[in-house]
Amino acid sequence: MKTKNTSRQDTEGSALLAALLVVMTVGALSATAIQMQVSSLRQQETANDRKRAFYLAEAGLSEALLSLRDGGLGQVGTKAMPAGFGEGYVFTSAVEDAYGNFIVHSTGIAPRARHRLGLSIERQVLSPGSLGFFGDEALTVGGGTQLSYVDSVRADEKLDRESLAGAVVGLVIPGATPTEEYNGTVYPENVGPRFGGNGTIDVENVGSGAYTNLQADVVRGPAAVLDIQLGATVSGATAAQAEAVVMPKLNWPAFALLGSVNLTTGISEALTTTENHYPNVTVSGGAVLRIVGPFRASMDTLTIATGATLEIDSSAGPVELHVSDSVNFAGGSSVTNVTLDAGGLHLLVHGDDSVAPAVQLRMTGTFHGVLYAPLAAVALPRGLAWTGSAVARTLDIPRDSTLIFDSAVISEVAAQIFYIPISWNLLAAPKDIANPMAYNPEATYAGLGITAATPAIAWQPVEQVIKYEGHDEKEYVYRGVTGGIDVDLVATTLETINAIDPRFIDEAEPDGVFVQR
Amino acid sequence: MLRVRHSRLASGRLKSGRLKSGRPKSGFSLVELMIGLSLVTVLLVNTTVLLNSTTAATTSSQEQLDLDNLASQLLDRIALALMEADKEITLPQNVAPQHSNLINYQSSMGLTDGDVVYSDPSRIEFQLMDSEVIWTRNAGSPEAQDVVWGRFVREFLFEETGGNLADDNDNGLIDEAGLSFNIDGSSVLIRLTLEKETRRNGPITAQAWTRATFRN
Repeated sequence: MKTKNTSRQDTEGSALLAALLVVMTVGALSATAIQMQVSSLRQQETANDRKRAFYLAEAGLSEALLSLRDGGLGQVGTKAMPAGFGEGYVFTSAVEDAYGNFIVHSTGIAPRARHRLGLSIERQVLSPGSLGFFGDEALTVGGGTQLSYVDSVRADEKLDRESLAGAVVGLVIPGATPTEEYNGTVYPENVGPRFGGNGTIDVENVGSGAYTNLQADVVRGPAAVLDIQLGATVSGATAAQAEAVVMPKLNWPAFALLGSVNLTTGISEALTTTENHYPNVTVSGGAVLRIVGPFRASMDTLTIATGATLEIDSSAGPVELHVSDSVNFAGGSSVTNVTLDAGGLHLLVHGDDSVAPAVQLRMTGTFHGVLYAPLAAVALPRGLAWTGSAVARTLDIPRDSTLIFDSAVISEVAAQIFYIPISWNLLAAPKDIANPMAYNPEATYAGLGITAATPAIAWQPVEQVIKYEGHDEKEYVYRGVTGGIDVDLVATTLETINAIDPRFIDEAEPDGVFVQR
Repeated sequence: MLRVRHSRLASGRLKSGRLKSGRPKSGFSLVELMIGLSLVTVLLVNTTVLLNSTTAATTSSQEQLDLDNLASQLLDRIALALMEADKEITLPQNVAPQHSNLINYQSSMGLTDGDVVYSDPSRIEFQLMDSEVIWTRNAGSPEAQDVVWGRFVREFLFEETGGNLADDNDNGLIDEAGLSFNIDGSSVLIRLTLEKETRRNGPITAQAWTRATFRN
């Protein structure tokens, strides 16, 4: 029994040895396989993070563009407090160059990768007056009409406005090259004389003696049908555009309600308090309503009776009148502009003709200004010299009209501003951001115990304006939160205006919101 | 066996300096030893086979993974470069079934004095001789600079026989190279096949494709 026991004792453990060998081998193999899988998984995750960071940066650019189009600054989140989006973070910075273009940098932050993209955005201003004499659905130009061109702003450089009054015809520059340099100033391309539409455009040939002579380009959409009768002259380009001509949207201003204005015979009154709503403005025969700019107002109806005068004084700033229902300038009434500045009066008619004609024009004399009635049918009064522009759903220009397109009408009054991306490019993320160990918003937010704001609510307010010179020796302007500027972009700070600076307040709206260009 | 000897020492039978005569009562018989050795041999052989096959599978899988990653990275690099390109000045403008194994483009570099500035003319090209993807700045000029972006590009795209004027792989293209570009309006379809000779498994291939939209 003893021997038997000893033998069993001697062989005990040999199976364990073999089992251990097998287990260790399998374990080593498994560890190697797991290690390789982990390594491959990490590679895959890093590759995914790179793509995630790229798309986060793209999302940031879109949000910045949306912000600009919505009147914001293009700043979404900050480096210190980026916006949370998906499984990462994003922040953008936007600066404006000397040409009014915005340069946006967007940084996408994923756990293992960062990506930075750049987008340059052009700011285009579509002014109601820029369309010249335009009928969206139909334009009829009566025979004998003379359409010419003046740039009263440029003319100002030679003559003051008083002398311009009697010499306007002499200053007409038929077929002027819009980009020509004058007195060292290169004028933009979009100031040339123009008329057109997106529907039918009929140009009749002869009025009471003279043949139609339109010293202008035709601006027309692809569906527009242009019919120029034999004998009529159109000096500019007549080719159709690839897309329909866009008419700026009109936004109804929310002004404080004030009482109606009703001027009876012999009374003269001046309106100077800006940004009010007058339900009905009526000027009876013999009365004079004087409106002094800068002035903005809205009204339901504007009626100037026979013998009454609406006098515009835009010497200190433009006059902008929004009318919701109807404009009625009766025969024998007059609408005068003491400055003769066509850019000084913008008459913006929001109404259509569903109840009654929204625009009735029978005044006499001259008119200097912009009439913009995108939903109404408009017939210009016969025998009136019209300087500026007139844009309507349908526009009827009577025979023997004298029209002068004044490029001074191109302004930001009631203009629709477009932000057009013109350059997208890849950028390297700065070293401090590129290193996930040095820059980790997730840890920052975890430390603060808060959640990152979504991009839509991470739009930054303006607290500071910094004018600076970049490394390319060009000047830029930053508008945003204090300390939000990307210091890597700045070579030399030229000027800093903080919220407490009086100059900052000067540029602010009454509610204290800084005016964003 | 060590355990057995140790057991003997521990038992104290050798302490007196002499062995006990007669057949030892412990240890393995020859038959036991043979059976044991056979079992161990079988175990070792199986383990070796298992190891070899596992290593081979792992290596093969790793090589495939590496090639897949290489294809993906190369494709991403090409796609990112072309996203910056201006679609108006990207050539050749090939719509399927036309295709090209090179693309000429210029990238937007942002604005200077209000105007968009473009990079020097660049080219991404598949060079058959070295099976490489070459990026060239100022292609065709004396200042041309070449950079190898990737290797192992297959002569023809995956499942494309080539040289038979037929669409073998049913992708709408005929005899397309291992790197092919189709420009379709504002985007470019990039197809890529890499092929690499491996020691154990012969040639392995990786294929990838993506569509990059020109941002400029």
